[in-house]
Amino acid sequence: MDFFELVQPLTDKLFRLAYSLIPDDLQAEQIVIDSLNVYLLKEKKSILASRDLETLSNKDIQLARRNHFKGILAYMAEIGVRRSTQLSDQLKRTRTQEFVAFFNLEPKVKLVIFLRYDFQFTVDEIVDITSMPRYEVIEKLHNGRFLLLNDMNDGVRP
Amino acid sequence: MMEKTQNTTTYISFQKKIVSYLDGSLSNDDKSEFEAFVRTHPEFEAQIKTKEDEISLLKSLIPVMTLSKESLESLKNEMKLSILNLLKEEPKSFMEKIKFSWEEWINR
Repeated sequence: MDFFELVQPLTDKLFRLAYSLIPDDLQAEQIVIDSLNVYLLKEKKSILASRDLETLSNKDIQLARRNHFKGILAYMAEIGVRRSTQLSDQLKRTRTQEFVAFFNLEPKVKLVIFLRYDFQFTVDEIVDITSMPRYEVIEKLHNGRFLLLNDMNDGVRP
Repeated sequence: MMEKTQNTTTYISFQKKIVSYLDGSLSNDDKSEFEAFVRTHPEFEAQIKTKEDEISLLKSLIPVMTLSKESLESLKNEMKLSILNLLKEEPKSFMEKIKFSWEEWINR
């Protein structure tokens, strides 16, 4: 097993997070590639040093995959949030009609909500991935929950 | 009277912790305290269930986008190319340099 085989099952998940930050197929794909490239450049030494994947047990492979996943996500969080902010005007014009409440959230709130409720990361893991202070992660989770559920209640109100 | 007010305050303070408990954002001490409270107040479980339902609803408000098979394959190929290009080991000798160049040319 090589590094590509190790990370390729993550492709779909990486795309999903990228798309949640920028709802545009091409932009989202570009974020996946850019995040992976930065991760590879920054972590090249450690990846090459631990390349002997043949000797790992299934459990260790899962663990290694999860660690690389979190590593790539850390760069995706940074790149995706920055790009989402830069493209916010353009995105407003092309915004999809579905999941409007979610896409209207500010990028960092979308990121935290997605990591928690789609990828099921714990608050502490989100702190590691996003490099945000713990209180900020909790605050964004709270705000995101409130805005999403409130928007839905407003929507069903006659 | 005072005891009743205190119980109500305690009850409300634990109510406020339900989402944090479900989110896993409570400290270990708070989590143990919360679980102990739930064990002694079985009716509290209904409130936890309500919050769990709310979180399930929240999950349905998050987009779950999937790529078409072709786009997924194309993205995987791009990732593979990045990995091949960026994880290349530097050649240590002249012979290795020739070997790597040869392999690169073959794989083109």
